[in-house]
Amino acid sequence: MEFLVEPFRFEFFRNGLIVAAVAGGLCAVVGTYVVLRNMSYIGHGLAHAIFGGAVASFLAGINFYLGAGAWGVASALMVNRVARRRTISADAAIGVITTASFALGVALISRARGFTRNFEAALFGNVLGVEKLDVVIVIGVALIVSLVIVILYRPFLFLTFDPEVAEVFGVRTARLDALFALLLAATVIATMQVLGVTLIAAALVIPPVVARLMTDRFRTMLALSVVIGTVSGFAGMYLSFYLDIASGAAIVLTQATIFTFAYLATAQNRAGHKRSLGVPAH
Amino acid sequence: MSNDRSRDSVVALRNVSFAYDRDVVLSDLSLEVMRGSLLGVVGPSGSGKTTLLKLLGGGLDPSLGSVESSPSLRIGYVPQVDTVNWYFPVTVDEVVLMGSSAGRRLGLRYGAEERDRAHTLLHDLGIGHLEPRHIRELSGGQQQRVFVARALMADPNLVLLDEPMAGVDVKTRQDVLATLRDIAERGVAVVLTTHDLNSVAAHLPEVMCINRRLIAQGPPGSTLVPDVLYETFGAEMELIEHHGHPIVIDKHPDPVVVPIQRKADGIPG
Repeated sequence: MEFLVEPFRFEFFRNGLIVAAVAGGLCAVVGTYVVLRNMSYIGHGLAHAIFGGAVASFLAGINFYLGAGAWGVASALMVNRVARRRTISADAAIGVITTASFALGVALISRARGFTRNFEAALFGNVLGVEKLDVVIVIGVALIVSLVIVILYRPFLFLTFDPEVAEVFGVRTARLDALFALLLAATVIATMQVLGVTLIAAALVIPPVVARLMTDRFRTMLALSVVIGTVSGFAGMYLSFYLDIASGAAIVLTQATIFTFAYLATAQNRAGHKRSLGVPAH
Repeated sequence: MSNDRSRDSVVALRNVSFAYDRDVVLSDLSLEVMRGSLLGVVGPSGSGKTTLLKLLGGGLDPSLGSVESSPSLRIGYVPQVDTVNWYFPVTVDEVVLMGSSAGRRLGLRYGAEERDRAHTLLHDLGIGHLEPRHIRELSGGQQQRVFVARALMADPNLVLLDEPMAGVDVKTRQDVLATLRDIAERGVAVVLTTHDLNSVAAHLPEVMCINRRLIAQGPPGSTLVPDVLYETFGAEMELIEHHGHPIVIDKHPDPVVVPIQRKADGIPG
């Protein structure tokens, strides 16, 4: 038990643990919708787009959450608008917007000196810089996202399952799409410090994918995804502390390990299901 | 228009045209859907059938013309089964309960009244025992009925169905059409698209032939005639009558008589 208590002597760990566990669960909630709507690329792209805003706000001396927040909202709304158009491939258009924003961040960094350490922290996540404000922000965003998901659970489910038909049934899909893009942007901004730009996409995707392997019910998938995200955030922080590796990497590696076990454990069920349907298992 | 007629009108398209960018999919089409009507829309692929349903359902706004709908319009929509994501983690009861969401119901839980209604609808459609099953585990006909139940869950006065007979067996097709007749008899307007001309001829009182514009509309007996079918599909077809219903068959340009072999080699006849 000593190894569990030992890191609590450090304030950065206490803050980091709360942020990592909440960030894991938060990404898992939003990620469930991201995965089921085949929007994984948007999550990945948005994280990169916001990186540009984070760098710009740092160099301009603007508070990270204000600068990156405004940048994130603008990027999310632009990505959402582009994704709804038919004339060009949504993936290609999103790629242009988000990589251009990311490239701007890299360009600004390359002009600034003594920024290397922060650059790595932004890319791969670092709990050393987690402060009280970060804890408050990630908990606040998690509460807002949870509240919105609970209140709008049913329209969001319909929108995720069948967007075109949901519109005919009276679901205001354009508004919900825009709202979801904002929730996604807020999630990325709130978790960037601990997870890192390059690893947020994994934290959004892996817990829901594991949950999907384990259930055929949406509600159960959502709950399992949150549990997996939170537990892996918690466990990843201990790994990060004891192995002295980046927190984002530790959390994502924990999730990848859980995925491997879940995949192997459910392989038998999938083969049995195929056999019962008369399909040869491969 | 008489007052009775306006009371019975559920939705009407007035000289509607619709284009995706510069591609005009429907041109100058008018249609009035009346309470309790059962209308089949036929036409070749790309003729604008699904677009017509979306215009009626409010999912699309016309490029030209207008859509007039009753203030009390409530729509139930049944999509083409091949557009459904069958790997989505959702069970039969969850799909049906979506119908009562309609963007207005909020919160995480479904009410007892909604659950009872969903159960009754599924039971009436003969699939009550499948409630907890994943939608992928059902047969084609059962899946079709799940989406009909979801449409009815919205307590609609207009049900729109996109290709409900596609890929289903004969028994399922007959069951689906019987269900739709029952729905229409309760005063609900039903509009469906299909490629199955003979089902339309045998089961529906009214048919509309379109190919990016209205070609003809009326009872199948007077509408499904060779000239109209040629104009609609660009293919020559012949009609024979059976029990008062037209049966549409392809016209072969050079009839080939294939002798029926009464006795296969080595097999006793």
